[in-house]
Amino acid sequence: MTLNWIYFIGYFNLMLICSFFMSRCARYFYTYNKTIRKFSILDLQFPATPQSLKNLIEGIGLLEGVSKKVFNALRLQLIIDFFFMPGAYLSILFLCLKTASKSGPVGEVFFLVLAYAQLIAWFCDFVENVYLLFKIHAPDEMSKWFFNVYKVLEIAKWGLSSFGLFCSLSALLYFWLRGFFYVEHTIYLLVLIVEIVIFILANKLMNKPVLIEKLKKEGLSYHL
Amino acid sequence: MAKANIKVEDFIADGRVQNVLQKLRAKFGDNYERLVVSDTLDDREKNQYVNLVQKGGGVLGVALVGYTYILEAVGIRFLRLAGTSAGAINTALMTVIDEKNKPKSEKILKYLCEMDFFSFVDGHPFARWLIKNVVSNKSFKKRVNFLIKGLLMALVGLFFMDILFIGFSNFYDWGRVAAITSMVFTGIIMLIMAFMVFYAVYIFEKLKVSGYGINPGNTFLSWIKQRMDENGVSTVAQLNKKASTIPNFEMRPGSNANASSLAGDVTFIVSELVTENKIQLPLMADLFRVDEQNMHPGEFVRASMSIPIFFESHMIRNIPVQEIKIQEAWDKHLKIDKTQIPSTVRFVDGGMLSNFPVSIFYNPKVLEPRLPVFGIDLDDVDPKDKTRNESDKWSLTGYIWKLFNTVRYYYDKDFLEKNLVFKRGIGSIKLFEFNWLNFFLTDKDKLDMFCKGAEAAGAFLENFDWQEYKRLRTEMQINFNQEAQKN
Repeated sequence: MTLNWIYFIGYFNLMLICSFFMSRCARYFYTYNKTIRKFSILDLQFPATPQSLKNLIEGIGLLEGVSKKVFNALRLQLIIDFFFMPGAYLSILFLCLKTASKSGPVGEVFFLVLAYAQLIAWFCDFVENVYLLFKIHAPDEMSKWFFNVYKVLEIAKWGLSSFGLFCSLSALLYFWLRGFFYVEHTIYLLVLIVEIVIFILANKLMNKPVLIEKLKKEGLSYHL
Repeated sequence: MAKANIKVEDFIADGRVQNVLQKLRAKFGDNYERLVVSDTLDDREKNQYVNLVQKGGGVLGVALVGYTYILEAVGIRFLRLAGTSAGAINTALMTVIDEKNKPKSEKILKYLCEMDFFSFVDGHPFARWLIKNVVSNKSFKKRVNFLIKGLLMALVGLFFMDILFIGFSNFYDWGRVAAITSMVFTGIIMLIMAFMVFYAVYIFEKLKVSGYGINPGNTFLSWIKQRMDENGVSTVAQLNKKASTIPNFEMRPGSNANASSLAGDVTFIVSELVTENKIQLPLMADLFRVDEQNMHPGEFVRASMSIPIFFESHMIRNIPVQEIKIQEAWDKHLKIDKTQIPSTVRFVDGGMLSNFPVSIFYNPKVLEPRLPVFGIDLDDVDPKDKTRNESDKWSLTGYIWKLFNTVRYYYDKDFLEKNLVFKRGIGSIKLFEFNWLNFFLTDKDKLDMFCKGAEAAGAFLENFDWQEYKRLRTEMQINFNQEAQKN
C-alpha cells in the first residue's frame, strides 16, 4: 500500500502549491462597506445573510481604480481553487484509505465511507465555486431557499473533510504509537514535513500583505 | 416597518399613565391651569416653554417618551432641545415632528410601536445570537462555562483512555478496537475545539476589520433617515429651520423680561476620537463639509448613538482640509491649527464624554431665567446593588465597567455639582430592572418603561417650583458675577 502514501504526498503537494497562489491572490481582497475593508474567501463561503454576499461583491465595484484588480484576483483565486480541490479532498481520501487498510473490519468500513465521502465534499466545493464565479459577474441577492442550500453545501464540504482528516489522523497516531508502521515509510513523513516547512517559509517571504496604502498609490479611491 | 402588536392607545390608556394625569389634575386643576413651570408662553394656546436635555441610555430611551408625553399633556413645550445617544434619538424626533407648539410624543409612540429594536442589532448572525443570549438569558454564561469545562474534561478523560486502551491493546483484541475508537473520539473533540478557536479568531478578525464594532448600525441609520425624511427634514438646513421656527412668545404676566431674543435650536452630542473632542452637532457640522447645510442630520443621530464595540464607529471621510472655510471652522470651534485637521473623523457615542449635556444650556449672560432647563435622567443603578460596598471583590468586567462609568459621568456630574440649581430641573426615571442593551424588548417592557417615564414626570412636576428655581438661578449668577469681579 505504499502507493497510497505516494498519492497522498502528491495531492498534498498540489494542495500546498495551490494554497500558496491562492494566498497571493487574497492579498488584494478589499471591498468597500462604509469603509475600505479587507475580506477573505471565508466571507464569500459563509455570508452572514443573503444580502451580505451581494454587498461584498458590489463593494468591490465601488473601489474606483483598483476594483478590476480585486475582481481579477478573486476570479483567479476561484479558478486556482478548482486545482486545489483535488489536492485537498484526494489527499484526505488517500489518508482515509490508508487508515482503512490498517484497521479491523468495522474500522475499515468506517474509514472507507469517510474516504469516499470526500468526493461529496469535492462536489459541494465545486458547485460553490462555480456559483461564486457566476456571482461576481451578476451580484444579485440570493433567495432564502438558495441561501439555506448554500449553507448546507458549505457545512457538508467543511464537515466531511475536517471529520475525515481528524478521524484518520487520530487513528494513524494510534498505529504510530503502537509501532504499526514500516520504518522505510517514515521517509514520507519527512517529505511531508519538508513540504510544509517550505510552504510556510514561501508564504512568509513572498506573500506579504498588500497594504491599503499601496493600493491607494495605485489609484484607489471610493464612492461615498 | 414591523407590524405593531401594541398600539399608541395601549400606552396612553394605561392605568398608570392615567393615574399620573389624574393626580396632576387634582393638584393643578382640570386643565393644569395652576401649573407654573416657565415665564415663556406662546400667545395662542398659552403653552409653557422649557429647554429640554435628554440623557442617553440605550433602549432605556423608551422611558424618555413617557416622560415627555406627560410634560406635553400638561401643556409644556420645548424651545431648545439637546440629547445624547438614546436622548439624541428622542430629541431628533421631537425636533422634526410637526411645529414647536404641537405635542409630538404620540407620533413618537407610533414609531416606537412599529419599531423592531432587534433589527438595529444588524451585525453577524452569530454576534446577534451571542448578544441576545448574554443580555436576555441569565443562565447563558453558566451554560457556556459548562460546555467549555465539559469539552476540556472530555478531552482529558479521552487522553487518559487513549493511554489505558493502548496499553490493553498489546494483550487483548478488544483493547485494539477500544483504543482506535477512543483516539477517533479524541480527534473529534479536538476538531470541535479547533473549530471553536478558529471561529473565534475569524469573528475577532472581522471585528478588527470593522473598527471593533459588532453592528454596522446601517439599519438604524436608514430608520432615522426615513423618519426625518417623512417629516420633511433631509438636510441640516431643514433641521435648523425646524428647530428655530418658534411661535409668537409672550411673557407671563408679572414678568419684566422680554421674549424677543428667545430662539430655538437642537443639539446632538458626539464624541470624536481622532481629535479627542466633544462635538455638538449640527452646530459644528461646518468642521466636516463646505456644504454642511446639505448633510443629512440622520448621520449625526447615528453618530451620537454609536455605543463603542456594540456599534461600529460612525466616520466622516474626505474632509476637504485645504478649504479655507473648513480651516476657519476648526480654528473657531476647536482651536485646531489647519496643519492638524484630520481628513477623517471617527465618532462614537456622545455619552462617552457627556451623556447628560445640561451644561450646554447654561448661559452666564442670563441673570434671571425666562424659562427653566428640564433634564430627564435615566437611572439604572440598582439600589440593592451590594457590589457598591465590595469594591475589593469586583470582577475584571465589573472593574472596567466602573472605570468607564466614572469617566463618562464625571464631566456632567461636575457641572451639576457646581451649579446645583440645575438639579432642580431634573427628573429621574428609575429603570434598574431593565438592561440598557436589551434590544429584545417585549411590548410589555416598552409599556412598563413608558409608564415609569410617565410616573417620574408626574412626580417631578408635583415638586417643581418655578419661582424657587428662578430665584436660585438668579442668586447663583449674581454670586458668580460678584466672584468674577473680585478675581
